[in-house]
Amino acid sequence: MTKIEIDNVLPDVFAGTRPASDVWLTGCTITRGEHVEVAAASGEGKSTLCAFLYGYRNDYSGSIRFDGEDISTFDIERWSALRRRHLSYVPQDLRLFDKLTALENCMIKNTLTDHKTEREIRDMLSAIGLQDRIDYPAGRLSIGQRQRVAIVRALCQPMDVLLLDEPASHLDEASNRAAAGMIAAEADRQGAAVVVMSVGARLLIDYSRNLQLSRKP
Amino acid sequence: MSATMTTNNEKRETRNENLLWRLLRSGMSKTQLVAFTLACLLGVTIMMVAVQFYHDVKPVFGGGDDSLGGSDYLVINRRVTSAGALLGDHTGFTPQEVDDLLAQPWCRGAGAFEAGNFSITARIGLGTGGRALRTGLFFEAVDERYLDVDPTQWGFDSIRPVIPIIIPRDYLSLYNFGYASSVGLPRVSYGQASLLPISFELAGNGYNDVIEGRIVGFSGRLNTVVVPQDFMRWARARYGDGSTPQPTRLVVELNGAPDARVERYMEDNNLEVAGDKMNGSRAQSLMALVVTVVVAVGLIISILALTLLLLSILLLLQRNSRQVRDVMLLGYTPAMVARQYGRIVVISAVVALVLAAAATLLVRFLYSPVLADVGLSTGWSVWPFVIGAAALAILVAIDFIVIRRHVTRLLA
Repeated sequence: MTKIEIDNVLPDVFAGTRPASDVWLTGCTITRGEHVEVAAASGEGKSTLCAFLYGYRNDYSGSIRFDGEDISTFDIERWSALRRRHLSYVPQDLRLFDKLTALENCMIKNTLTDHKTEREIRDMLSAIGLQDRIDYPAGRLSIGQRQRVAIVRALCQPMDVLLLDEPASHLDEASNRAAAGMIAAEADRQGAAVVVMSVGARLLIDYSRNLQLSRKP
Repeated sequence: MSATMTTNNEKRETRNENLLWRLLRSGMSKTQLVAFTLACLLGVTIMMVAVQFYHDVKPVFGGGDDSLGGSDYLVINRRVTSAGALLGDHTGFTPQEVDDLLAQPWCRGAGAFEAGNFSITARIGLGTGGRALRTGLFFEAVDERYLDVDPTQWGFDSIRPVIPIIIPRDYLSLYNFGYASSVGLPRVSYGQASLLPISFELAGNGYNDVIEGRIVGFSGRLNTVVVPQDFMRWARARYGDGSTPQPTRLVVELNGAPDARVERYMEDNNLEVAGDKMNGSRAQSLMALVVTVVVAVGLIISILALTLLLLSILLLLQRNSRQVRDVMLLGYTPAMVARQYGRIVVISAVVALVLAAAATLLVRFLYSPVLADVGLSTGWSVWPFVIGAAALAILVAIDFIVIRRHVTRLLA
């Protein structure tokens, strides 16, 4: 997949309004290799946009196309394949499995994709400051630690686009830089686009573009 | 090198399955699982024992190997009433009557017994001393496909005439246990009977010949003295009066075991079935009905057990819906998730099937001395296992489909 086109899209919950936006009700394209920040205040549809792009919500008007194909026609099998090989995602609520350890949370993704070795995953978790928490159940980690585990898990797959929904909201500056460095390195190695939703704390990578989900008049 | 890689991959897949399974089994009750498996075991055992029992006792009701899904044969004739005997009612079958019989859905075919219209006297030598039996006799011929023996020398050559005959097994029993024992004559085995010197004196139409005969087989199906059709045609032409008598008896091939429709037809047309075939068949039908009811009860118990197990799994799925949704957002397909839960059903069904097979063997072992006492010694049948396995396979497949649909719906 080389590009995502967001064409005249508006979430159903905003139906009847005409928000001033770089994304809603306009034409917007994200291509492989670029780093895009989508900034907005709370409640303006960042997670909603991620849900549309990741295929688990479709309550919108307009069309979203992956390489020209309308994603509303994709079935569950197609989405599963995309999530294993082309699209990666760090959701705002992280969706870690509390009973599994930090390593197992990454392994459950990696065994699907066979993208990293266990050694590499351990190294990544250590590099991001979790060397003492690798075998801890995720349910016993702090929110910041959980955020870092979710980021490592998202990097355990081949991808064309990496979606991150407020990935740095609970990271201190050192962790933020470590996470950003790791994300940029992996994305650049794969030539993938990085799309970061930001409200408040920004992930500290170099952005090639900045989009406003909602402009103040 | 590649073997090592394969092993590593297998290990990884196993670990992956284990991780997934650890997430998805959360909240599963082992006690419930065992209870459902036991209930399923009970149902399948009832089914399998019933089928095995039916297989074991079927010979009592006269059902040979050919009555289960195969064909059966009846010999029929008109019922002779007192008035009819005095008034000389016709006892033969007209071509229209034979056609009507052939048109019945239960009738696969029918063959007419062709009777001889000439005089026959048989002389049977009984060993040394010149003792012989001499008796008036009759012959009948029937199409070879209705014979239940496979005689080697069936046919007739008028140049070197020898008449091969097939006699009912009952005739030999009648001789051995009736006549021979009462007058002090030796008993005769099937093999010896074939070697007895027999001659027939055929008379009519101005001819009077003595022709050698030979017993070539014993029939359990046909209660008459059967000769080849080509002999009958030759003899009728030589000794007969030129008439072509209507057949008085028919051998009827059925599509299965005789049932109520056959019995009703016989009643309506004033026909009689030779032997106690209908009574045996009625008992067999009742037995089949009882077995069907028992199998149905076993099947219902199995269906209920697997349905309860399915409901329990759907509840588990609902309870773990968050995990199910999240693993599918990682890229797991509904089939991968459904396989985890489907495995529970498969394991439960396989355990139930294996234990049911063992229980069936045990039950049969317990009742087989009773069967041996009444002279029944049938072997094991694969049908109980095939029927049990087929029923479970269908139920498991249905459960799989329902689970998969449910998983897919969770993400919708």
